[in-house]
Amino acid sequence: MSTAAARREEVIDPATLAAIGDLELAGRMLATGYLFGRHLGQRHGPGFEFAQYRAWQPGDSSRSVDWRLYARSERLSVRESELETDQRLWLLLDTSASMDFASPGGALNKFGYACRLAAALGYLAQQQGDELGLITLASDCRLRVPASAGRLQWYRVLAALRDLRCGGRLGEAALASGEPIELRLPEGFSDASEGALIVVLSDFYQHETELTDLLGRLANGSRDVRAVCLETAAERELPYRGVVRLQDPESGAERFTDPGQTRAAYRAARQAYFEELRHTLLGRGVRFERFNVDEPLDGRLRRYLTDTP
Amino acid sequence: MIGWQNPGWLWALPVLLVPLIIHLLNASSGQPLTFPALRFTTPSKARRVRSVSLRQPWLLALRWLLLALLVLWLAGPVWQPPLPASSAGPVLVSPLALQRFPEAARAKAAELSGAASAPPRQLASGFPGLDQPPVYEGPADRMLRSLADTWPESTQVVTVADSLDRSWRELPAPDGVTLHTIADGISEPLQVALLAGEQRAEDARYVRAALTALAAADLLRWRELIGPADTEPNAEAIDVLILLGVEPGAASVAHRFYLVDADAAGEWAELTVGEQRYAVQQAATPPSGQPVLRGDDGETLLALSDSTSVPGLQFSGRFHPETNTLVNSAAFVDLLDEWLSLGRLLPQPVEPAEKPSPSRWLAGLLLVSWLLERALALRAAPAPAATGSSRGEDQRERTEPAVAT
Repeated sequence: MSTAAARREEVIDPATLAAIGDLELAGRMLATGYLFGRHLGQRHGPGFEFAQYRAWQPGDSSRSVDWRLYARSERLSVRESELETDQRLWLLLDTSASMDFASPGGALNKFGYACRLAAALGYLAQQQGDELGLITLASDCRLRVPASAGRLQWYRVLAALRDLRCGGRLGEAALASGEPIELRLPEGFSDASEGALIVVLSDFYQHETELTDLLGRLANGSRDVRAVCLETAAERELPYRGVVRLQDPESGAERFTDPGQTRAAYRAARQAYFEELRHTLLGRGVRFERFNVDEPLDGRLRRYLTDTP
Repeated sequence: MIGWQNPGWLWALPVLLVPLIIHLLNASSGQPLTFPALRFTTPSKARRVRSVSLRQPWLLALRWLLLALLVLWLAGPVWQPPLPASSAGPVLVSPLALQRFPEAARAKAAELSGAASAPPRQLASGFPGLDQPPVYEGPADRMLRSLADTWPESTQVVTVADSLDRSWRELPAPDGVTLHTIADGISEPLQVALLAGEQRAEDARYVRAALTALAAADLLRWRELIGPADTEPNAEAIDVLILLGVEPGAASVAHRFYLVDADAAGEWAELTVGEQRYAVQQAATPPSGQPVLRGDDGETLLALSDSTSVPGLQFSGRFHPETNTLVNSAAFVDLLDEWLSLGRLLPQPVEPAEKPSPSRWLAGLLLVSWLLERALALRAAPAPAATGSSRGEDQRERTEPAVAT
């Protein structure tokens, strides 16, 4: 894609996106940008949630005719519901304290960015009639919205996203027990997620390898697991000057560092970590993508969806 | 040239350092910055934030300007036109001017004292400072006249134009003395009214005669009131109202100055004027206020009341030959003229000449600077993310100053 074309697509800069307080509107905007020209409107068919009536056509089963409506209007009409597919999208959202970070002067923190991304992905799933569910990852895994299909399901997820707050340390519950850190998913999730598409939105600052292990376990089946790694420009560049005192928001550990002298080593260490993480996850069948929250989300999302096989 | 009404506020100018100190404290206090990717950083041996650079120097400069304007505004700058070099000399302020136009007199004295070798003082015995309450010790112009030959070169006197003795006014100022007069707005000649009660019909004859003599010399104009002064259509034009046997309340017009008598029911007092001696029967209660005329034994026969409701002179006795031998003499005319001239002592609110005040400009600049500072500060602080935890917003605020270091 040429630079000019990329600019045309990336019209919603992070500041604008942050200014749109309404998750519904932000999700629609982001998803509509992707759907534009693809004619992926909502599909209708047999199901439980009523969508519309349409005139009977030859070939339609007589069972599908709404005979009560016929008694009133003397016209044969077929009752249609939103098409429910066997596809299921699970959003696993990291809400640990490290997600509550934005670049100095940045419009969005990682968590806000992830919420908008989740809203957009949820909207796409709802438009396709897929089931949608939400789980948060922090000190433990918590089922926020059980998977279900239908138009209202997206609003349930939006309501849950609005209520979420960052805090805690990834896998802290297991850490306190002294056992090896393991992120345990809610009971029944393994069965409920069979064959599902699972998108994990996190910054992947794990204590040991708990998140990698979790994704590996999930991918070890018929599930399609995607890892979306969120990072800020500040984390990428370490832009501070002079000696600064940094503190890890989750562990509380502090460290004096001189970014001017250690920036190169920092970049290298960080790059090595994520490269290794990417290789590990790819080895377990998990696709790993990095999203810079200080770059326009709509263009990045479009590229991500377009490149997704 | 700029002077200050409250120069003590200028000591507050070091407050300009406060924004810089706050900035340095923020930068060097070692407040930890939240940074999730801490694990990839390399520890530094240094434990102090050593380089400080300003990310928003214009904002700091604007805050400096804001504080400086605030201090200068509180100090109250006033324009003071530069004085000619020849005008430098002692500055004396007439007590009459201090009593009647304290603000204008002090402002003029301050203006003149800028180039003077000594602080301004009152033109009274001992030359008390201006911080002392104004004292009245007789016509100050007489003192000035008698001491003029001994004044240093370029002595300057602040006085009220009309309060000078008439003979003084007609003569040029002594050599080496510069008069700075404050206009007082008193009628010229003085407008006097006489109102006598039924019990004082006889007394009024003598007062009337003295007033007529003064009017003949064109030193004042007078008229006699028949009823209470508030029935007079031109009551406001009266400068001094003489009340004989009438309570000031009964003539309730906002008069500038009263001369009231009292029933003679007390001791007799002797009074010497020139070489003549007179006898005056005093009132049972001596008048209160600053003595203007004393008897030979120190009794107060005429007092300048310090009452704001009845400002003026209270005579302890009547103006009748049976109780007061003075009224039959020629000296009474001179004394009455002198007493009535004291009517010019009354406080008369006179607006000083309107000058463009630097304080107004400063206040305007202060407001503009403050609005600009708010706008810039808000612009510098990023808008919080619409969605996300409140902790995230706090985080950004904490991160801001750190980037400046």
